[in-house]
Amino acid sequence: MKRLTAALLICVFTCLVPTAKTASAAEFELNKGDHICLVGNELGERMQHHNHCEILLHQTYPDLELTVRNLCFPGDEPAERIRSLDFGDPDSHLTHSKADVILFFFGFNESFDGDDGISEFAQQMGKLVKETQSKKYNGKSAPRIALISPIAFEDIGDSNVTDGKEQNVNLAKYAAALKKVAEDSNVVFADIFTPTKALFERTDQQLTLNGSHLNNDGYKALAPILMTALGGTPRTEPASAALIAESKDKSFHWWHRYRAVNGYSIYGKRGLAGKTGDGKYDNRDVMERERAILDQMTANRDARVWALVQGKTVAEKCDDSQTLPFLEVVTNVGGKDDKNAKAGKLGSLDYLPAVEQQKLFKLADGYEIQLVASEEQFPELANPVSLNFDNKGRLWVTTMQSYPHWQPKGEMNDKVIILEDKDGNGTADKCTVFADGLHQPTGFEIGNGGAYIAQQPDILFMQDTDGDDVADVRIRKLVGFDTADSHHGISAFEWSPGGSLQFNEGTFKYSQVESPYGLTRMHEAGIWTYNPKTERFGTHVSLPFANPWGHVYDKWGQDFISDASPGFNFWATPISGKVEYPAKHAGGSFNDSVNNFKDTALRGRDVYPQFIVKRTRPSAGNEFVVSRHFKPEDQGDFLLCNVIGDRSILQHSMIEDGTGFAGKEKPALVFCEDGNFRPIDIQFAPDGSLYICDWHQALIGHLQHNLREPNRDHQHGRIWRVTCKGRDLVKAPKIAGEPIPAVLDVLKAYEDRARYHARRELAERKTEDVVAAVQTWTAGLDKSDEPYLHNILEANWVLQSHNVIDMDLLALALNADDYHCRGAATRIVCDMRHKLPNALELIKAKISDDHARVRLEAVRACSFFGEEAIEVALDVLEHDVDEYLQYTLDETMRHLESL
Amino acid sequence: MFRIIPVALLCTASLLFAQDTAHHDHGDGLPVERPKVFLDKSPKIVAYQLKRLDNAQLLLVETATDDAKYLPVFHAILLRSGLAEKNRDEALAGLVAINKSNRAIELLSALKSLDGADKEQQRVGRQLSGILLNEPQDVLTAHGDELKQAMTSSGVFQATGFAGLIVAGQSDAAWQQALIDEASRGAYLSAVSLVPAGELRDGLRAKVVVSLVTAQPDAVRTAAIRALANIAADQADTFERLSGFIADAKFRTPAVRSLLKIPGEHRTAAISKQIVDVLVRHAEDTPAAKRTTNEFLDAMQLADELLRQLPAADAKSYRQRLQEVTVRVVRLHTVEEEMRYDKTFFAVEAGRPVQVVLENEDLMPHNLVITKTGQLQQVAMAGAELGTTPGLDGKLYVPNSPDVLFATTMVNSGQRELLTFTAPTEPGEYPYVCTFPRHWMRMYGVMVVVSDLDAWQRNPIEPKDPLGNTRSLVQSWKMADFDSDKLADSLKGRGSFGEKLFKEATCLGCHKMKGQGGAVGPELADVMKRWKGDRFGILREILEPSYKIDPKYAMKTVLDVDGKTTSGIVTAEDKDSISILVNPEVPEPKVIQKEDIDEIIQSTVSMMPKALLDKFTREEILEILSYITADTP
Repeated sequence: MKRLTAALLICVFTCLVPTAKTASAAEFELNKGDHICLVGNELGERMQHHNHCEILLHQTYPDLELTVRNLCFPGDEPAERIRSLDFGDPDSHLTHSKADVILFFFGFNESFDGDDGISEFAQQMGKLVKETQSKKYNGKSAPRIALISPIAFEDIGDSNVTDGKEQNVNLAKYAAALKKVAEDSNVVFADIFTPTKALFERTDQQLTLNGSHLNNDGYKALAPILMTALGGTPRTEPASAALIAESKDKSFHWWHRYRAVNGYSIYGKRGLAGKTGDGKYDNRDVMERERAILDQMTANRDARVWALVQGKTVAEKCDDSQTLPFLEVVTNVGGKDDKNAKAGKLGSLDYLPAVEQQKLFKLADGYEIQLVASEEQFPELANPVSLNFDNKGRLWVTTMQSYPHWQPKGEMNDKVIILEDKDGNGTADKCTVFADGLHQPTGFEIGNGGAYIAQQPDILFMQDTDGDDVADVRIRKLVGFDTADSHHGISAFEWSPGGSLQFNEGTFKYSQVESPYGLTRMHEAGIWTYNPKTERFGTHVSLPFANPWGHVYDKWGQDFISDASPGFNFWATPISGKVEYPAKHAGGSFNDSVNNFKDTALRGRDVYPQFIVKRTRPSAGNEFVVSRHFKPEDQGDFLLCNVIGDRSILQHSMIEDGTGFAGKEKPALVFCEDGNFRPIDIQFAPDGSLYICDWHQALIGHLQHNLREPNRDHQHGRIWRVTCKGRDLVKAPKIAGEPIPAVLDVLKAYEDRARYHARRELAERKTEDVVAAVQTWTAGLDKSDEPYLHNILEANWVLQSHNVIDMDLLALALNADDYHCRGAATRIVCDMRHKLPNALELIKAKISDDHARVRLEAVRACSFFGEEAIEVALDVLEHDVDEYLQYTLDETMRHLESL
Repeated sequence: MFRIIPVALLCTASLLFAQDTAHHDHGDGLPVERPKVFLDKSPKIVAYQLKRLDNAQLLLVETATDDAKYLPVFHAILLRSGLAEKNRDEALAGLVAINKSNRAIELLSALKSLDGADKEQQRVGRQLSGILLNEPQDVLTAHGDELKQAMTSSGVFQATGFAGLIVAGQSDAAWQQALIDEASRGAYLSAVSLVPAGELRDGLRAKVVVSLVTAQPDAVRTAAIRALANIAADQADTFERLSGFIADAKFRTPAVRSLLKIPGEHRTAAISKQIVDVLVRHAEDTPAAKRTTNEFLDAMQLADELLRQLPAADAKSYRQRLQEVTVRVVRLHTVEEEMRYDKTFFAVEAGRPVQVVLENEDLMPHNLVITKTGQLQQVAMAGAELGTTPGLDGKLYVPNSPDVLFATTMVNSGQRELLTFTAPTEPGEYPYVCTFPRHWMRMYGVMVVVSDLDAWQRNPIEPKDPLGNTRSLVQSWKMADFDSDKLADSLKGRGSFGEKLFKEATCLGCHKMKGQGGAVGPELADVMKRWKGDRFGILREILEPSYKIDPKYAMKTVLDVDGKTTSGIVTAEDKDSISILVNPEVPEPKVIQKEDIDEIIQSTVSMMPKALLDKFTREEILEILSYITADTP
């Protein structure tokens, strides 16, 4: 192995001392003006957000004036890198960046294949290197290549998370395979596995987020390790704040160019949509111009970085005056031929004051509506998109003023705000900005002492640690989601009863998410599931939806999904069995184009039935009426936001129908004659009233107007509250900070949201305290109480959220008289199979359960086991099988047969 | 090498793998694993499992005749569409052995169990019906009671009951039953097409004709119109009778379709003119949006064909009227399992717009590529070389070459594609061909571009075969056309004349004989030894190539990790690679490294097309068989 030489500078930097190397590979050389591209997985991708390596490189070679472009995507492998339509192949991006030098970051995701996968990995790497060497991305010469090994796995000392021992054995083998490829193909190999393993062993400080992926301190420690592994001698003086800020600003502009949100509306098919009113430009013209401007702005910042490392001073603000002009977008709104107005999609550009809007509401008998907050009082509320309540009962809202897309040179300042009603009159009187500087926070959820906030391609975890309600911790927690479309972004966050965070993604997206347990890919829509306790990550539902924006659980742990664009509503259990990418479950709007099944029995959008007859579209958030404040006859009803066809909160009575459910539409709970009323999210408040997030826009379409359409509104936004006349509000339960036994008692509450918040609170408490308290609490329950079994189920869920199983409690639920309880317990067995050696035996017993719902849960569960589960699942045919059960069996078999 | 858009690859794959293929091993030479079917579980579960298996997997399920638990397996094979006749025969034998019954009983019971609403099942039903009705007459007679019962059921089973009774010599009893009600009469008329022997069908003509009368319900008259198309006797009379139905919208489509089947010599000028007159008015009355339906296209095809029977002036004036309202349509069908188009040539007028409709009735995908004169082979070879790399306008197997004039995409089984273009201005013979690998050798024809279409139609001149083949169709030969008992005798003393015919039938392209020839199919020098002297079995191999396929010579499609496909015969295999013979003209096989292979798919249909000898006479076929079987003890 040879070492890094800076050809031009070797005489200047006499500190560059050869280090002892063994085998021979190429000499890594850097020349003045080199363009260095990073290609590969999340290890490389995060380097643009934690710029330590890049800064150190510039500091070490100040006169080389290096241009660094990060082309990594989480989950990228040498031969498989999924992207949304027409993103462009790796060659096109390397050509765009004129790569002279390429650093490949591969081997982590591949290593989960263990011994079986090594030769394939080596072969693919060899092929990649060979093909790369045949290219001239800079127009003159073949790129110089370095293969960077994966880092080691860190044991973070949490028994819920893998200690990485097994992974490290594999990682070492894959690192060795990379080394061999480097030697065989005469390119540079940088071993950062060995030094990071040593580092993790000798350091107490946690350097990773989850064992497998470095945190900021980890990247700081990695910078000199990587530099040394490449054969260089890193400079040791700390970087100035100005240099760090400049490098960050450069990466920021590159990030928004390369990982531009709305890719499907730029280079993809909808790039051809969004014709301007004068017919001159489409989305692609307008947005590609912005990307060109971002390229120029990035280059301007490269120059400032070089000046700073060369000891020169730079102007306070970067001069971007010479960049290309934006294309002028003429509105397509208005006039007698406005197609959207004719189609009833356009509201009114004359926005009404909230007090006038309120007069235009029509509510179901007995209900009334009031304004909680509007942009008039709180300008921060502009473009609200999702809402949740914290455990103190306060309302949190995300806002997206930059929708549909931040414009270069403009302010990026989407927010999460907290609205408080201090005097309890139902209207907000205080607004605190919890987080700002965000981009397209399409959804969020509170939990784990902070908030998980979507901002594609990431989910951030943000936390306030000093009690001022302003976040001071910001971590890119989950990354690798696609950016193909901002309005198909991560949405509808919901905690599963057992403590997994689940969130939805729309079609066009090709996502790859890494975890300490391996890589998960999903394309063309679905629901993800992430367990913060165990760091397990995967797909909950993979079905060719269009854009699912609603997801809600009922009291027995059955979940329901609303797909916005087609207005479809699905019961989730049969479609949440396991499928492995690229397979998806059959059904959904895009079944035929995405799944393209040969078997005609699996074709069509109706292969998987909906539980309510679709009348109108499109929908958004959904919720069940479980509030004593609402009328008794409305209890259990399914509410659904509709933002165009009806501009209503639609209401449906729900009955259990065979294995599944059937909803029947009732008169709408809320309708507003104001065409700008766009109810996008709803949720019951702790006092039993219903809150509505009103996006409040005249223009609703993402596709119908140019992304830069000047009439897209960036100011309005309202929150409404529905109450029932003459009925008392519910006394909001005390949850935040209360003693564990008191919080456990909230699990006896009637309201779904009260129990939801109590579980969320309990999940944050110390495991041993919760486990002990649950034992006492369950022992004290009165078995003759009607909700006894439900309380037992709740106790099981609380333990599950701590990654704990109590076999006695589980057996009570599994053998309960009520099939709802048995079904939910069967789901727990499936979810907790990593802790239950006899899980399949327990599932097998439920295949012949008296009730078809439980049998369906058991058949679904079989899909998560190996081929041995085929025989188990088949026995369900000894009983009556209805449409839902047949579907579930067919899908389980399809998956198990593919193993 | 990057799978950027896997969906696109999946689309391509599904196009390639027609329903007659099945997933197999990775070519490592290990025996293919049997699917695990829990035969001891309840029949409901077994049936469910078997239904989930594809054809190749279904055939791998263990069977024996010593236990009733194998009945569902045999039953599933018998009722599965797309399997070879041999598999069906074996399944039938299995059922007979376990149930201690006979073939007729099992076929009747299988027909009875069919789901009439399922198209695939109906197809299988017609095949099973064909097997049953080809059983010896005394067998059918012996099962007269069951057949009579079937006559009171529904669907293919009911029609089989009628046909069976007719074959059993009880035509009158069948007719008596048909008179009972409308449904029975309809079933009787559907039975006509099922009756195997032509003379027997001719004998039913009078009954069909009386069913055409006005007094009969519409459904019966429609069935009678359809039935007449299957009767060879008195076709001039049929032509005249059916012409009367053309004007009535209720009967137009079945009448058009039956008329299309009547050969030119029975189409008289006067009647033809009447029909054309009605159809031209029909075209003028049909709104533009409805001028692409199959029904309309059939009507226009008939009009186009009948214009040939008319005096030139009449033909011209009608054609001008048609050109006012619709582009001339030429319909081209593929023929199931015969690897050919139904037309070997068609004519178009120079510089005129024309719409060619390719309807794929075969089980595998085909396309239609029209080439410059003399470029058929070059275009086809270049197309095959593309593999799954999209060619001209993104079309698979269509090379980006100036020699390609017009091309459809690959049309899947049961689908159709409309190809609209303006014919070349230069009169001449322009070949058309399917460019799917290896299809071109048989699947081609000629588009004749003429300056005056009507003049040409009156006196059509068959174009030269673009590959130099000069034979025309003799008949579609079936095993029933040869007598197994007399076969050996009829081969005696024929000399070496067969050697020339063997070459002419392109056998040497694929088979080695006396050290010459290709390696796509098995060597024929020792064919008698391998077949233990069974000449009839060897003849079956020629006439029904898919009856039994030697796995060594089954066409395999290799899908490599880059998503490219290579189809051919695996000629060698070792630890690291397989050699696959792609093109019989290029003796060098392509070597593919096993590590590059994603999967290998084996076809259940023989690479050898059916109907290879349909352009040869019985005597010539016997000459060829004699040549193949002569050199051995």
